[in-house]
Amino acid sequence: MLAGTWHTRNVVRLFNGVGALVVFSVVFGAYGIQFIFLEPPCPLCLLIRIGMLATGLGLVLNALFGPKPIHYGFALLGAIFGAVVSLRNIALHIVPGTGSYGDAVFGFHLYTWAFLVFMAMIIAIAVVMFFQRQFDEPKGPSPRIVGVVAMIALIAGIFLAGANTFTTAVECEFGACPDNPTRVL
Amino acid sequence: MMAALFLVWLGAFVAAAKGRRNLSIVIGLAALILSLAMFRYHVSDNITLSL
Repeated sequence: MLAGTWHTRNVVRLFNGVGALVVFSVVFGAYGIQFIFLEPPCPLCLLIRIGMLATGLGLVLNALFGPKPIHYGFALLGAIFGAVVSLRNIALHIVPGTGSYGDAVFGFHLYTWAFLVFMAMIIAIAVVMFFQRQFDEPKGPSPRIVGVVAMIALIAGIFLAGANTFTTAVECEFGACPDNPTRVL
Repeated sequence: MMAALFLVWLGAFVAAAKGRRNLSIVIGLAALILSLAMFRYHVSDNITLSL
């Protein structure tokens, strides 16, 4: 599993795969809160999930096909989109007495956590892009774990996009999603 | 509408799974633009912020 050439490119591919899994785990967590605590997602919350999927897609492309600037650019655009949406959600409730949406998790609401995750992703991607040798072709075979992690991240992304298509269709019934949703599914 | 948007994102992931890297990026970029439009749709005009 670990045998192979640990070239910078393969290390970065593995890092991207793990990063995608981290981003997708946040969406899995949001799903858990949706169904365990019966909190229906607001439209901005769904757009934050889309920001996570977009960031994850860029990282999955890096993990699957090797690091390329266009993949990083895509992941950054997704993270910036998600950060803007989550910041908008924070701003809606920033004035004291205007309430909040959903319950807090470890002291912060989900949209605040999402903003922090997006900012962390932007910083992490910028730092990883410093390693110039990741864009060179390695001579030996890649370690098997790099491909396995990339495939798991891809399957997680497909599952989340498909599952959100279904649950959002049931919640919003192919119209505009209500600002204050009442039904989980 | 939001469900259709997730469907487009699903298409981008499926294209990546089939090895169509460029197609995945094109679909993803289209989905990102549609997501921006959806964000604009859900931002009501009657809320202003004084910074």
